[in-house]
Amino acid sequence: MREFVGFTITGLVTASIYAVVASGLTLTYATTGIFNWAHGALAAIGAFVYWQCTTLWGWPAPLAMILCVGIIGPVLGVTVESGIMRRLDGTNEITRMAVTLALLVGIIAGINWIWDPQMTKVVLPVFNGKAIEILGQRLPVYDLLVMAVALLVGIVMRWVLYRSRAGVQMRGIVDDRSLIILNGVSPVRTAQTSWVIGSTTAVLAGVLIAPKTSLSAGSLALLIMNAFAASVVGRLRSLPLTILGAAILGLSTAYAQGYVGSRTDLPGGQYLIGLVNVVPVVVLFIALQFLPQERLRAAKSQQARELSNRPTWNGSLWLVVAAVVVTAAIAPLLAPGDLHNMTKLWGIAVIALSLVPLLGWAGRLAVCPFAFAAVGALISAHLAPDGQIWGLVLAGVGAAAVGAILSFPGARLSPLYLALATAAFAVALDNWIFRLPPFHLVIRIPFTEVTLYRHQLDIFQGGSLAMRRPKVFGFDLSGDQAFLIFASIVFGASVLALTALRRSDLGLRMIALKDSPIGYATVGLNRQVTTVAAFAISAGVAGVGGALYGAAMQRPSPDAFNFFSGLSILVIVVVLGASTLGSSVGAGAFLAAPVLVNVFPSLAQVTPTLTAAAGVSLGNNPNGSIRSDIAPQWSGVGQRPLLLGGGLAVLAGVYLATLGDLISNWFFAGACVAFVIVMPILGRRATRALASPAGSAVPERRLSASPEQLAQSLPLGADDLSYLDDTFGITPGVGRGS
Amino acid sequence: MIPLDSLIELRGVHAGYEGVEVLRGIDLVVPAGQVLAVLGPNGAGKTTLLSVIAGLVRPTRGDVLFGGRRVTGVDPVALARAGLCLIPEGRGVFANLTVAENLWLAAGSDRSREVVESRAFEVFPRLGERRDQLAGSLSGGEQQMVALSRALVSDPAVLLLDELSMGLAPMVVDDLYRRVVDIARMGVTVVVVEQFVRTISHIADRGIAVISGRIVLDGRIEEISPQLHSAYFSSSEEVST
Ligand SMILES: Nc1ncnc2c1ncn2[C@@H]1O[C@H](COP(=O)(O)OP(=O)(O)OP(=O)(O)O)[C@@H](O)[C@H]1O
Ligand SMILES: [Mg+2]
Repeated sequence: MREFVGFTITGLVTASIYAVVASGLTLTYATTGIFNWAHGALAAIGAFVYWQCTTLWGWPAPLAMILCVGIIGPVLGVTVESGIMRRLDGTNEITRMAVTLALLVGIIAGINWIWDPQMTKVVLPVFNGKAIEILGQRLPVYDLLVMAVALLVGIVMRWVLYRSRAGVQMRGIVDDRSLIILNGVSPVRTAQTSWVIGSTTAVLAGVLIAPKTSLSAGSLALLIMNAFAASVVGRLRSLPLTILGAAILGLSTAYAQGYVGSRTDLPGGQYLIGLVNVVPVVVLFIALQFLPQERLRAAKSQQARELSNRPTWNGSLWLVVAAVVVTAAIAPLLAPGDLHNMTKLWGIAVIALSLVPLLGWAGRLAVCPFAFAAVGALISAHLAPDGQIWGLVLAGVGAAAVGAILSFPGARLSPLYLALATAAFAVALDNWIFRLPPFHLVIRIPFTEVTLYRHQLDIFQGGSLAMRRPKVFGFDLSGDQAFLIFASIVFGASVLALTALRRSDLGLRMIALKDSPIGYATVGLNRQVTTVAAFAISAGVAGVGGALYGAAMQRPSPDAFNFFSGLSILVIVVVLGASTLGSSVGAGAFLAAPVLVNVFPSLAQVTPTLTAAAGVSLGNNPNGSIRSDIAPQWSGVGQRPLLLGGGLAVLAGVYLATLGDLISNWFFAGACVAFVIVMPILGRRATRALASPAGSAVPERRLSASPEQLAQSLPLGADDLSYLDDTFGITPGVGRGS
Repeated sequence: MIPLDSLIELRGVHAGYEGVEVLRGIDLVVPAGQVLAVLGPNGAGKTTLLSVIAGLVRPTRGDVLFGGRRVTGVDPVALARAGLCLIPEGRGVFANLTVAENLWLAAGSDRSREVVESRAFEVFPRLGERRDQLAGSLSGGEQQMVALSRALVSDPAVLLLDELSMGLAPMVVDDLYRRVVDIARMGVTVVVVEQFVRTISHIADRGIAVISGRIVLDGRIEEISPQLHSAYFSSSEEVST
């Protein structure tokens, strides 16, 4: 009994912090329609600033707390709203999530940049060592304080949301933005208020939690993300239910920890220690199962800012050839260390590619690309331990199966909840499954002693998975150079397979599902089937990529498949364009090419920070920069084969000279950069020369105004008429009366 | 001093959306206290006209004056606070707020919830019974009552109504328009958009017909209604030549 009371009190303290976090998250979502994945990262900022002030600068705790909650929190809220969220108007839920995910990655990178992650940071609680006796339990005064603060936050929040004008305005804005304007309420001010409240509660939670854990940006953000489960219990709407969720979460974690986690004497105890860490994930999964079916809304027709066009065979072939040729050309030039790092490139690119069908085409967001990749790597390592080539195929098939199974309960969820479920899946794998001690897998005929199958399974082989690189048709691919080229070929094959998929019937269905779920349902197609198919395909591709990625590293640790690294891939793909196959190359190059880290060795955080910065700019450019910026730049070049050929020939010449050691690698690198900069400029010049009347070509003909305008100012002028006649192949004068 | 003979004035207004010009030279003066009916076929630009007056759409050319002051390009929030009340097409309610919360949002910040509610429920007792129901769960007519209540509780100078009748039974529509008449009697200037003249012929002092973004008829409602048919007809004639 004594024990029980103790665990209950511990649980309630944890629950209080979760309640603060979750109610802030719920409030922001309910009032802005944006789910802030970076909520935990904001909390981490609070915790680190508090540590800096109290421990490093020796400020008194109340002063530090006032700084954090009174200044840092509101300032963060205003900055996030005015700098980022305001631009997300008219984008869909997926783009919004990608932006806050980018913010999450960016803030964590930023914190690790400012505060050395190697240094252990400890925050002492206020009233340290003081305790009060309650029910025979010594209860630290700090814990009482935490509970009191949480209670206060809960009361204030409920009052704000339901009793204050500002709260009603905040809720109204989600319903109808232009109607709120007609009511004489400024939507900008209102959104700002809700971001300020949201970020201030996040920072407050960070400050409260700081003395209870050792400070690390990633684990703090994850810890806070546990509270997302509480928000889901409240369906991201109801504050009382959210607080109930927080209580369930805190108590179940405390009981699990108290009764199971600290007892290795229980049967199977060593397998359950990790499970304790994922109790919130289990709560989240259960809560998701109780959610009602996603409602199809037909009320508002949506004009999406996101578009997706069909990849052409030509374009995909170009991409594949370029990938293989450039890889084969560059590999011999690299220093052994760089080459070794780069072997991961195509593995990452294939994993990134897996996001395109699911996210770009079917419009469903799974935030766990690395989880499926890890499944692929594990399958290939365990079933094809000598690097048999069919290990790749098994990896794909196995991961696809896992993806399909996971998507069965997930397919009926809305994009947000689906994304949360996949995050939970990834965290469960990271924190529990991949860290399980070895166990025996035994299949026995029931009620007998006859054993059919017995296998000792050690999932991650004590923390580093032994993976062999394959041998194909007698070619030994264990060398870095050979493996890199092989991986680029696998990437090429995946691109072609996905191109075929997108051009198939199923590909069309995926797009239809994304564009109009309601339209999809009304023409009698089954949404679930298409979603499951998209999931399985995506997971399968990620599995193949994971097997390649693991083989590149040869001894990957679970950390190589870490949740946050997976988010970086996701963010890059979305920034470059989730519906464009080429975005995957960018992800591979950005994360595996050691360029930035080599050039600025002290700034290892540059890559994630840049990634996140790019992601945050997504609001301006929801179709991704390949479609909006890069492709238009190069279209002129593509139309001038002579120009392109000439440029490539010059580049090839420089390359040969480099290979022959006539000039240095740096010169070649410079030439590549020059190629990328100069070609689009020349391309534009050439196109302009063509279009100008001085050129030999036919002058470009256009309508004198847009068709809509013309339609309103009928009849048409003679020029417009003859243009239309030409365009539609009509003989002038026929069928037009007179 | 507000000029009573032109509370709202549009001078040579052109407006549209991304390359489509919808209004093409609108000149209109609405004196204070008038009930003006805006008639016209689908796509004529009636909704756009109201949006321009309320500041939601900025004219590409021309000026909008409100109470004698130029308000072209002024923030619609400011216009709403200054007493322009637009009840938009469709259901102008917040579906996920309760009836009471909808009313409270509609009233200015200086009014107490009790006063606001008693005023609205006096006119629409049915809403009083559904005070704590989410507005999205009300019937179409009830939702329009909530929307119209905004005109009751916010004391507007001008009420802009866009197709109040859309999708409602004639009896419900008549009932709603009776409330509009009450509001107009209190001295509120009303601009009503309707497709069909019959619905509002008995409440409007004056009517204009908008066709292809221009005012083609303007006058006492019983004067212009006989000409409407031929006006619509000749406009389609013009398009087909
Ligand atoms: N947001 C918008 N973007 C682009 N075009 C628009 C937009 N709103 C209206 N239009 C176009 O402007 C024209 C006039 O629209 P408007 O809504 O003003 O017509 P209306 O007279 O109110 O028609 P209805 O009787 O059908 O409501 C139409 O051709 C319409 O397609
Ligand atoms: Mg209209």
